Amino acid sequence: MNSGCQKMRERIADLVSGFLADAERQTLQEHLGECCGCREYAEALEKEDRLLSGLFGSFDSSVTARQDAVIDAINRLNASGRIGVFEACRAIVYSSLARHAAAAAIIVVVALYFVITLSWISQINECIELCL
Amino acid sequence: MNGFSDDILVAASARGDKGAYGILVRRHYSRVFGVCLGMLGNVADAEDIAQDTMLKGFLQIKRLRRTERFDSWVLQIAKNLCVDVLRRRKHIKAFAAEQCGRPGDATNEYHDLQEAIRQLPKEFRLPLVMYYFDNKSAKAIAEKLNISHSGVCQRIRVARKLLHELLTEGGA
Repeated sequence: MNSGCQKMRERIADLVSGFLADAERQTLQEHLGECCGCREYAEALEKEDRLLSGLFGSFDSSVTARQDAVIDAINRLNASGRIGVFEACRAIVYSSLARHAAAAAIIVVVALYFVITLSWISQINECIELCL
Repeated sequence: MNGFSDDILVAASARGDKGAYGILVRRHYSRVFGVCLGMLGNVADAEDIAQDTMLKGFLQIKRLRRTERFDSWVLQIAKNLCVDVLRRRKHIKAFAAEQCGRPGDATNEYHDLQEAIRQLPKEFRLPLVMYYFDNKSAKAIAEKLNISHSGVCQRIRVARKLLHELLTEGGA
């Protein structure tokens, strides 16, 4: 593949996307008429474009069901526009504040554990010393 | 109410009109889902985040001052939520894995394609996915991603080249 083909292949991608200007389109069509490699490349990109359209089109077919699910969730919100109890609990559980609070609570518990354990050990030591 | 403009529907939604917001959901959900899919590369996660985005949009709609900009506002919510998800995750689950065996996807003809899309770098994947969710309009994508028209064309051009290489390497 020469440097001319390299440039043409960028234009092929633009052609498939519909971004190519008319003037450039004419030059490209002439090149495709002469270059077998670039023609095959163009056919491959067009095939991929059709596949992509089909793939994303298949998502569209289930979009109404997804929209309905969203609208149902919104309708479950209570009249004041506030989130329902279940959603509120879910939001609290998954919020970053909750995660930080949980981490802080664990740190405090561990710290307390060590403080209490150390104080017990020192008391036991004192008792042993007194006994001796 | 379907014929009303976004700003009227936003104003009604801000007063708690769920019906008005439902119309906004129907109007904008596809693009929100497209952005989520482009950023996350995973259908199941994109569905969850798109739903969370629309819910968050309803709960926060009173904060939206430029009511005519609902479209870009809700897309920004989606992007922020996707960034949160990406931060939480080290690895994106296989894009195609969730698709296997789903009703309506009897064949896996798109398996290689989905896997190739998932492997694209995010900066190229997002414009490419949005291209197919936004009526193939580079101008609309440029506005939503806040990049130039030529920047969108360049990214889609590179995305197609990379995608072709991935599919060819994969023997598809």
